[in-house]
Amino acid sequence: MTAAPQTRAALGPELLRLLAALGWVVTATAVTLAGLGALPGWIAGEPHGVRTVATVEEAERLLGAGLALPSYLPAHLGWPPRRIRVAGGRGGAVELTFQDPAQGPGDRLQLLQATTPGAPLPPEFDALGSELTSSPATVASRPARLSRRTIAGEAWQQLSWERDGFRMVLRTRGDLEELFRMARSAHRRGSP
Amino acid sequence: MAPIVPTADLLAQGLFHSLVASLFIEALARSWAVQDPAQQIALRLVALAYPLLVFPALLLLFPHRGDEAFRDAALLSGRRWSDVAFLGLDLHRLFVSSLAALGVLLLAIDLVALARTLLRGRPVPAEPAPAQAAALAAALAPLLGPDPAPPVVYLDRPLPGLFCAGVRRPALHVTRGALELLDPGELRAALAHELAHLRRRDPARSWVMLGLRCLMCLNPTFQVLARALARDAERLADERGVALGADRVALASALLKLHRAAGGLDERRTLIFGGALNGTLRRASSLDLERRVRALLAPAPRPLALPWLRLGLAATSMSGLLYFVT
Repeated sequence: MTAAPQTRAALGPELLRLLAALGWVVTATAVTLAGLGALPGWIAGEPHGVRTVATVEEAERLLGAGLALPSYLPAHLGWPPRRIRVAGGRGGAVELTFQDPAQGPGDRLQLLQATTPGAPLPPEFDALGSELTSSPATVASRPARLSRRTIAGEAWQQLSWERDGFRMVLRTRGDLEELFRMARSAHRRGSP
Repeated sequence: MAPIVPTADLLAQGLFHSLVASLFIEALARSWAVQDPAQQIALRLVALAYPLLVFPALLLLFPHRGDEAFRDAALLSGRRWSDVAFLGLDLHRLFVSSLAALGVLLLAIDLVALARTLLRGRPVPAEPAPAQAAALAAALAPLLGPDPAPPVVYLDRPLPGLFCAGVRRPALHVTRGALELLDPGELRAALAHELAHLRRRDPARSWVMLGLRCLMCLNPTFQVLARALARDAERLADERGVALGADRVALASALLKLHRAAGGLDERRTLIFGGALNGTLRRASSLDLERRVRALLAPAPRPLALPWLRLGLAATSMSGLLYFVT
């Protein structure tokens, strides 16, 4: 590049103009990129850091961990899950949502689990609504907590416990006995 | 929604990075009001080098950019667009396939035109009439100074043409039509322009660029940038021609005459459905010429101060931003 001959005094304002224009272009580009990055989340109605994936295998790949899934699933709930959402990437958490085709489009069961021992479930997976009652329970001789909640005007049963240090939550709008049976049957994929 | 294979993911990232790099450089060139064609070329080369050098370096030196945690914290993660569907196709995949198709199309348009030129065969040199040889020599002499005269190939064709060709031994090619069309001042200006191409070895550069374009055949931004660089090379040859002794107005007049003489002579379509593109390409070509003529009628552009600092800042800030785009 050939430069225009400039006096030393004229270089100061020129340098300022150069840096101001660069700052403006960098800022505008960064803001545009950030906007484009946030757009899919806005369109899908998902907070930043949460991704919807197609399969349990893809969720496991993103999380870098095998998921604990119930080996017992009531026949009326369709497999695969209707929706699979992953939060936090590697070592994060997953939410599997099931529907009952016979009951219409509403969600019937949710399984949430963290894939880092001792880590809480992310706030993005917190169900809004109010807790009505809460009582201690056990899942395969491990301490658990059973609560009744209303979420979007519907009554849900929620069972929370830890399996090998991993936080697990099962929520259902169905039968309580089925809920415990599913919780007891949960095991990591690939393990007996 | 099918999972995206890593190759498609990398391709999408490369295409998007190229697009952002090129828009960033264009915005910077406009904000800095770069007028000098040499500086314009240097800046555009930064954008052109991005997919060839910087993007592979980013992948090799910073493999953690592929981690999900990094993607979640990135300014933009293209894979997030696979969550959004349009007409049953995820937008990520739609983006990759449409851009790749556009890249191939842009390259194909130029390759077909080049193939047609090559199929016509090498131009057959002829001996100019004494009066025409004298006119050529008279127009060239003041441009050369102490330098030896370049090889000049005379072509006995009625179509006005004046160009520089040849990789190992570039030569000026002048047709009978050009010598009949241009007055002495215009001929000298047009020869000065071609002499500038010859001294920059532009024919060899254009073949190198074509090779790179084939390598980046799926990247439409690269194709567009390469075309923009070819236009910049023309503007640079205009300015260097003026520096060699061409009159600005005479060069503008010669360009207009040659363009008008060439227009409408070649109506053949280069592609299937090329008819739809024909008018658009012709208008684009006329617009390029109009810009060059306007630039020639204005005073010579002043190069900006601190050119190397500008290049360095442009390259580092562009790469820094794109580091956070996965």
